[in-house]
Amino acid sequence: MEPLIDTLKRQIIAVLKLSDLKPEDIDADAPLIGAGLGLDSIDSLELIVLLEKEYGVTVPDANTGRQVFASVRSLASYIEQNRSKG
Amino acid sequence: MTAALRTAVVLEDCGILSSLGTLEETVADLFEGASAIVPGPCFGVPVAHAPFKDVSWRSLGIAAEALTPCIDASSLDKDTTAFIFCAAKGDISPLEAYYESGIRPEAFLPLLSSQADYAKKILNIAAGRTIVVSDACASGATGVEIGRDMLVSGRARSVVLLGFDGISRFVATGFHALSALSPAGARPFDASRDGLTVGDGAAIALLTYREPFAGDVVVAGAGSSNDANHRTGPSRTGDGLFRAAKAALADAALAPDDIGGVKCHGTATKYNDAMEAKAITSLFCEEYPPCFSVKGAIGHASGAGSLLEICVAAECLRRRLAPPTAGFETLGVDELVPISAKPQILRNHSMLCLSAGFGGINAAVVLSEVQ
Amino acid sequence: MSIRVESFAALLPQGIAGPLGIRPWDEGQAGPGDVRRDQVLNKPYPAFGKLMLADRLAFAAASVALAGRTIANKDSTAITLGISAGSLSTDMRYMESVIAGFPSPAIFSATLPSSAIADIAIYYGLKGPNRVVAGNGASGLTALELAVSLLKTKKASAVLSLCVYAVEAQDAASPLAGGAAAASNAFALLLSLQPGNGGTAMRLSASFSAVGKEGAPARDELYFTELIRLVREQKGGIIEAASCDVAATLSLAKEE
Repeated sequence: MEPLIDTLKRQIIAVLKLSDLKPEDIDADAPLIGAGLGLDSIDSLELIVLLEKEYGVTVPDANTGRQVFASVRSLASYIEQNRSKG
Repeated sequence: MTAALRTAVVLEDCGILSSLGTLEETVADLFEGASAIVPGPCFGVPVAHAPFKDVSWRSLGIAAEALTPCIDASSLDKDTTAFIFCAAKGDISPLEAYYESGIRPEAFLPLLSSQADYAKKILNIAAGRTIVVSDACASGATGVEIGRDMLVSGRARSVVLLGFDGISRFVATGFHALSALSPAGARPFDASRDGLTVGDGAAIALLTYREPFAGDVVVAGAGSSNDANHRTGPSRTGDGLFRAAKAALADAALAPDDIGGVKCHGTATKYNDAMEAKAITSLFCEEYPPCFSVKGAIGHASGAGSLLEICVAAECLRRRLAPPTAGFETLGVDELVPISAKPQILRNHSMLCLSAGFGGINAAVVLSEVQ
Repeated sequence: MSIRVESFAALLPQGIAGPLGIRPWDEGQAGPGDVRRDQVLNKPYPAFGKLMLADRLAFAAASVALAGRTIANKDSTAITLGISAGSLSTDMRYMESVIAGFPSPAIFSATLPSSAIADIAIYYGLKGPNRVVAGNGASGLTALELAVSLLKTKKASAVLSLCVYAVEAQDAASPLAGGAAAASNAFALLLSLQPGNGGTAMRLSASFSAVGKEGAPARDELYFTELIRLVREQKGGIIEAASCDVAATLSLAKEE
C-alpha cells in the first residue's frame, strides 16, 4: 500500500494546492482534516471529487467520509477495498 | 415612529418575481402555506428546486421588463438617483451558453457590471450612477444598507435597487458539490431539515428620503458584520449575525422589544438554522417575536433573494402578520424560536430582516411601518 | 473630515509596495499574479496556494498592509473591496470543471466576488461590516467611498479598503471578457478615525460626487498607484479621480 500512499500524498498536495508542502511533510497516520494539515470541510469535499475522478470510488455519506479521511493511510485502504469491488 | 416632521428612508414601491409569481401572488400563497418547491432534476442534479412561476423570467431582460411597472420612475432625476444592482451571480447564461454551445455573448456579458448596465437600460431608469453589490447571499440587504446610507448622507435623493439571481447549471452543480442541497426540499428550522433548495428570484425597490406618512414602510436601520469563521459555513455561535442585528437596531434607534417579527435567513441547512436560532434568541433574551422563513416556499434566491425577501417582509409588516413557514413541522434547533406552520400575529410594527452569505457576511435591515 | 492612513500596500508590475518599502519581483515572477506567500506573510499558511487569483491578490495586499500591526478593534474593523471584472477568471475555471464532469467545490466557493474577503476576515479576525462592489473597472474608487462612509457614520472604527483586478491572459482573450484587459493588481489602504501613533503619518480627506462622469475610462489602477505613491513618499497631494460611477477628490496631507 506504500506506493499508493505516496501517490495520494502527491495528489492531495496538487489538488488542494498545498504549495507550501512536500510529500515527506505529510505523516501518513496524522489526521487530514482540522489538526495537522488544517484542511477544512471544503477540502474534504474536494477529496471526495478526487476519489471519484482518479479511482472511481465514491464516499456515500458524511460518516463514511469522516472515517475515510481520518488519515492518508485510511484513505489508501478505503481505495484498495473499494477498488477491488469494481 | 410617528408621522411627525422627520425625514426617513421610505420604501416607496417594490416588486418581485419568484417561484410563486409576483409580489401579490407570492404573499397571498405564502399565507396559504403554499410552496412552489418541485421535485428535480435541476440541471441534471437530483434535487428539488423552485423555478420562476414563469420560466421566461430567468432571462435578465425579461425579468427587468416584468419588474419595470412595479416602481414609478417617472419623476427620478438623473443627477440625484443611484441604481444599485444586487446579485450573487445574476444571469450567468452567457457564460454557460458559451461553454456549452460556443455562443458568443450578445446582450450582456456574464460580468455583473454588464448585467447591471443592461438591466438599467431595460428599466429605463435615469440614474447618474450604478453600484454593483455582490456580497453573496446578503447582497440585497447590503444594497439596501448602502442605499439608505447614501440617502441619509445626501449623496442621493432616490435609490432604485434591482436584484436578480437565476438558477443555472453553474449554481445547481456548485451547491451540489458543496453537499448543501436538500433532495426533497428545504424545511427551515425543522428537525429533519437536510439542506437548501435553489430558487429563482428577482426584485425591484425604490427608496426615497422624505417626510413619511402614516402607512409608509421605512427602512429604519441597517447593520452588517463578518463571522470571520469559515469560507462557506456560518459561525456556530451565531455571534456575527447577532452583531449585525444589534447594529441594525442601534441604527434604527430601536430596542428588541420594538421588533414585531423576524424575517429569518432560514436556508434550512443544519448549520444556518442552528446558528440563526442562537443569534435570534441572544438578541431577544426573554420574549421572542414571531419568526418565519420563506425559503421552504420559494427556495433560496441567493443575492436577489435577500432583496426579494425584504420586499415580502414589508408586505407582511403591512398586514401585521408573519406568514407560515412552509416546510416546517417540528422544531429542530436547541432554542425555542417561534417558527410556525401557521400565520402569527406580529407583536409590533417593525420587522427585523436577516441575511447571511458565503464568506461569513451577515446583513440585517429593520423595516418599520409609520403609525 | 480627515482620516488617518494607518497602512497601505500595492501589488504592482514592478513589485510589492508597503510600509517597509518596495520589494521588486524575483527572477521568474512576471508580476502580482505570481506573488508567493513568503513575500507577504512570515508564517506558513497552506491555504495561500489554494486561493484563486483574485482572492490571492486581495489576501496578499491585505497581508502587506496588516503586517506586524495589532488591530485594536477587530469587531468594528470593516473590509470593503472593489473588484472590477468580478470573479470572471474563477467563473471560467469552475465552468471548465463542470464541463469536465467533476464540479469543484473549492472553486465554486470562490466564484463570488466576496470570496476574496473571506480569507482575510478569517485570518485576521476582522468582524466588522463588509461591502463588495464589482463594477465598471473603477469599483476600487466606489469601495473607497463606501469605506469613508462607514467611518463617517461610525459603523466601523477602521476599514481595510481594497481594490483588486484579476483577469488572466487566457481569459482576457475570451469573448466573455468583453475586451477587459489582462492584468493582475491589488491595492490596500487601512483607514481609521482613531487617534494614535504608528500609522503612515498621512491623512486622507475624500469627497465623492453624487454622480459619475459619463464615459470616463476605468482608471482604478492609475488612481490607486498614485495614491499609494503619495502615501509612501510622505507627500501631500490632490488626486481628482472620476469613473462612470463616481467622481472623487482625494487629498493627502502629512500629519501635523
